Amino acid sequence: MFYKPAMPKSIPAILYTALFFIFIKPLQVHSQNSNHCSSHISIVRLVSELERGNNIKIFYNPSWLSSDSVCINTLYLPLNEALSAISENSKLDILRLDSYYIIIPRESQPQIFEKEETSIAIIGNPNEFGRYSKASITGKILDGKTSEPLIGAIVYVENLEIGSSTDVNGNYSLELPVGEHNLRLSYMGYEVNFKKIKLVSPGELNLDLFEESHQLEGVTVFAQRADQNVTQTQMSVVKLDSKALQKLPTTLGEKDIIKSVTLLPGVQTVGEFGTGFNVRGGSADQNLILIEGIPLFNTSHLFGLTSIVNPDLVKGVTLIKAGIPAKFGERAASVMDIRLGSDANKKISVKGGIGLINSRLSLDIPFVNARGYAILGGRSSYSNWLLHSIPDEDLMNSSANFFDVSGQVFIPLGNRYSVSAFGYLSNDGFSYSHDQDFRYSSVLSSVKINAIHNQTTTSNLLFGVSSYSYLLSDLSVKNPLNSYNLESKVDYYTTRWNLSSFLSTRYIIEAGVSGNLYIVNPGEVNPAGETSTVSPKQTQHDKAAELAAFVSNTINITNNFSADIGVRFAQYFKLGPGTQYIYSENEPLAPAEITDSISYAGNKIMASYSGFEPRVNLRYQLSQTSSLKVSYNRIFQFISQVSNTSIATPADVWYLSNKYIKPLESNQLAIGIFKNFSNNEIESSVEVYFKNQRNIVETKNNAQILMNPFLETDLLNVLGKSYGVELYVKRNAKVLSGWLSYTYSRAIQKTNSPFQEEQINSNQYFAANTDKPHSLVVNTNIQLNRRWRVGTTFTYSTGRPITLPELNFTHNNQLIIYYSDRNKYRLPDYHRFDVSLSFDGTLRLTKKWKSQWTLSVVNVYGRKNIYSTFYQKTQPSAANNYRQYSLYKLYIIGRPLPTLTYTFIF
Amino acid sequence: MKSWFKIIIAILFVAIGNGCKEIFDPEIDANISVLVVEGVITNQPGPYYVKLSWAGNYGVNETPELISSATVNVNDNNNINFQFLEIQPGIYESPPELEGVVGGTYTLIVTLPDGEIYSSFPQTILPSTDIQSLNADSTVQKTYTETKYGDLILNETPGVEVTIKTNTYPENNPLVRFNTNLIALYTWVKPGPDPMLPDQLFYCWKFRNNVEGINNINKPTSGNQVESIDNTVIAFIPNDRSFFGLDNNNQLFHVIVKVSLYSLNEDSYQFYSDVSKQLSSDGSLFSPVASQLFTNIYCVTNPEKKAAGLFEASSVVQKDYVLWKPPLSYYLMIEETENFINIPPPNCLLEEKPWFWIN
Repeated sequence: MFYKPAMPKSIPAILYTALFFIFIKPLQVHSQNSNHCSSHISIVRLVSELERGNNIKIFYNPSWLSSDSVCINTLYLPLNEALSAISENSKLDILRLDSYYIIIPRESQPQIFEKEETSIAIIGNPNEFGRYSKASITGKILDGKTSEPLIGAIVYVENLEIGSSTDVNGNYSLELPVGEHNLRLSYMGYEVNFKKIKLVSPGELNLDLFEESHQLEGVTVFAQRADQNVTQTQMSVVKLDSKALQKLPTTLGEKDIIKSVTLLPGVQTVGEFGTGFNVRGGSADQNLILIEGIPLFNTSHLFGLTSIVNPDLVKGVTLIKAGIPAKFGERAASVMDIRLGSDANKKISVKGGIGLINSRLSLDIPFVNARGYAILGGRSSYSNWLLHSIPDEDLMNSSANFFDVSGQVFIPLGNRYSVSAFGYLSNDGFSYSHDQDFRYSSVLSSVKINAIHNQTTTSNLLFGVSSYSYLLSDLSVKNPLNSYNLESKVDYYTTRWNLSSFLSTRYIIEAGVSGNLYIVNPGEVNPAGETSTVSPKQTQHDKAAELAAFVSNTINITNNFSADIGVRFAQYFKLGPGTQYIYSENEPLAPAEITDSISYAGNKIMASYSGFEPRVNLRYQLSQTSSLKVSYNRIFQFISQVSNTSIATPADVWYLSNKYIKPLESNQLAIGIFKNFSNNEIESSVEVYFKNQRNIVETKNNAQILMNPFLETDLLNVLGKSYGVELYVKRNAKVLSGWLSYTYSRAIQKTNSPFQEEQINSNQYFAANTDKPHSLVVNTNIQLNRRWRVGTTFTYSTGRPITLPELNFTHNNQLIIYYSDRNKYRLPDYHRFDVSLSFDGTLRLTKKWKSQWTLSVVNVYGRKNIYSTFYQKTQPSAANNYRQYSLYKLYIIGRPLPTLTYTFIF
Repeated sequence: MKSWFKIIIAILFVAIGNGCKEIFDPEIDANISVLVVEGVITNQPGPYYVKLSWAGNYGVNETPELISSATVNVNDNNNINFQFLEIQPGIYESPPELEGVVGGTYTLIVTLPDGEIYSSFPQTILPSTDIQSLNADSTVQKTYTETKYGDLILNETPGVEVTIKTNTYPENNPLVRFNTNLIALYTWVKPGPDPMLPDQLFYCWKFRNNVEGINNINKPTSGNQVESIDNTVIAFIPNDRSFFGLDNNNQLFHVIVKVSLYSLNEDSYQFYSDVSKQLSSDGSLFSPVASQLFTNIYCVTNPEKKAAGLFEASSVVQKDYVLWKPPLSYYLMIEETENFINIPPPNCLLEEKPWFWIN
């Protein structure tokens, strides 16, 4: 229920289309008026009669209507025709807004549009004036250009000093005394907007924000961010909107969204340029990384050189590390929700960048008055030259290349519905020393239908597919007889339906159901080349279904105490066709212990698991600038990535839970204190977490992962514990901004088996691969002037755990290496310093071609951080202490690496 | 624009040559003592031997330190204790009473001079798998070698491939390992010291042991599932007589193929499988992470103390075959012959055939 007598520029674009200008000019009315009218009636009287006769409300200023009249026959016309007659016979326009009609002077419209500060929005039904002392306002805050909801935007009532922030759907709610109020709307990267309202009774008000106009006026970031980190109930969350993304550190000349989050507390890299990231001790496969709601099974190009998400199309990223909302499941450690969107404002725009490794180009096409849009972007590498230039024989004979294409179409269907379609395709090729050729690709697509059912209830329905496949060709140039191709694939299909409803200003409920289908081809080997004598082999395909339902409640219990409480129920079925082996009881799982096998037909249930996943977020506002938050979540994960390589690679095998390998169960408790200083210019937080995990999938010693039909016999379910404290201080200011984060954390695991074959380190706790106790990041962003910016990033972390040879011995006259306990040692500490310098080519808003040069230097002091270690047979010599095997370290960037990138938009 | 171009070119030149690999020599806590056990007991008549030593520091090329004055015992499933006798430093020999039998379970117990007691898991000798026959085929083994310029050269080595056939059913493959030793029986004609005197004819023999390595286990087809024993290659014998270190003055008559088929229990198979993986690791990007090898030895008195190696209990079938090519025949012949045991070290006898000579 809302009424808008005027339409300032900042009114959401979507509401423009909700207005119906009734300029109907029925000829018969006009003719009646001129030729057959026996009597006239004043417009004031006519309006009054129309209100009474049609049970409607028409808003107007009586002074505008005093002198005009229409034929009395107009009274007997249908409402629309009667209103048209008014318009015809006066200098008045009539607007319709839902069930309300507004009469405004025709010539005054432009003035009203421009006077946004003086316009006043009446909220609620004027007939109910005086009935309420307090009333609630609900609504959405939208991007004025794209009509996409803004997550985390702030609505602040200046005279009352209270405010609210929008949720993931852009919804907000406020309860205020009736009367006039000044609303202040803010969102990072957007222009601050002010809105005067007159609150009469409960109603709805949707609001727009527009992106700030480059930097002509000098944006004050802290004024926009406000105290969201303190006031929102969700903890352990990082939100990056499009503006924040632009200020991310540059790596190899490009804003790398996924890598950038590894600079935040509690998030660590797998390696120098590893695949994926680790959140609070979880392995990379425990992160649910969604693009437009569809999960990625591989996140990087070229083994981690850059992430597979094209930054030019990204509108926002949200990373949640704890208290994960009930609508998310599937992965145990974190959720990274990447949303694409349009930047264009009613005009087609082209954006691109030319870098050292790759170039990119994207197209942004708005339509339907910028309510709908289509975006399309692509990247392609030309990195082979770099490899061929490296003075290493193997690397000179190697090649690496990739491309990706992604796009999205958003189509509004009237005022209540919209549909969006998303597609993504990426392909990587990597050839190492002519010996191994590795290709992998990801395909994602989705269709999403959004619906606004009424003023408080919205829903969306999503259909999506994610597919990841790789082809490893071991060309075995030293013996072509053994050349083979290994293919593997994982397919994921999903359907989700979510409903959210603002039942009151203090209570929001969300609910939904989802169904996922996994089909995994663990491996298929075929001979490569005519000379190969390799026999074709195929392992059994795995299939599973994961069903879930959730309900989540956001409750503002008091002004200081709020809670997000939800529960998710997950049901998992391992499905046929397939063969399930039966092993001897009270013996370690081994192929030799197989006593029987059961064959299952297609879609027959081979194993099932289910469980409730409680989710709780509590916030207590200690003061206006500080709050205490507590969260707890439990999540089951039914698919894991198993690897026994020294680094995570895209060739790791995805494995579904079955009768023997149980689903991972993760329980996390987190507590945090959030405090802002200097009028929110400085944000700070201290978070402590403890995570208890059961059934983490680990590999046995000397496990064989690829092409193993009895892979469960080489895997173990282990216990895991993670705990840590994260300190975070962030400064948002015009000239100097940045953050400092320090994390102390541990991630340990242990087996619990009576059998030696199923023990790691004799059932003692050992460091997980993700265990890096100390992590420090210092990031600064200095705005030297309106054109020049300098960014620096220093990162430090303890070296990751590693297993090393300690001794050797002879057995049957063969020299054999005795390795240490698993992960007993650590690689040297990791640290790196990066610098970037950006120059904006033009600052004029009217300039069509805008450009930016970015010079960045990665690893300024040339630290040789270890990417991986491996062993190679060597010719014993004095140089290697006469070892038959030598341990090597491989580093990617061993000296300062400068890159220059040119970015443009027009 | 020219200046920008120069800058870009300069940057590109600096950018290259970043990634590299180097030998990594981390600091290792080598201050640990790991007992290494190398012992075997079979269903064949003894004596059996157990060798005790300390593992040496990684990368240090030194002779293993053998452990003397230890007490070595084996208990069988009848709770009979057999004490071994140290016959050389670190080498312990079983008493004559100990005879391994199929189905018997044996536990090794070692008491070191410092009082620490180590034990093996009980090891059972599983039923043996009989060797039905060997098969010999002329073949050409193809291998590729890489020149320093990266070019590949195909090497074709003509020779004889010896495969095995057993009496097991394919669906009941036991875990086995093969040990193949070759004995070349050849003659050497030595010109007489005086042209007037006849040449001297020597009957000689030479050994070539472990031709396929000690880890010639029946390979996992995938995972630990083993492939059929049948047709496993147990030896490849090149035609080139230099394989045995012979020259043109030598005439190769016969090759005796001594094959031992060990039927392993799971512990022994796990150990040999792990060793095989370690030794065949090529260190490529996709090679498995280095891991500890399986061992069936543990310290009873102090679980913190480590051990390595294997106390193996296996049943063994040993058979000897003679390989030759009949004159004017296209086919190779390989026939079972009597077991030759206690063949003396390589030697030559003048005008006298050794007792194991085959005509």
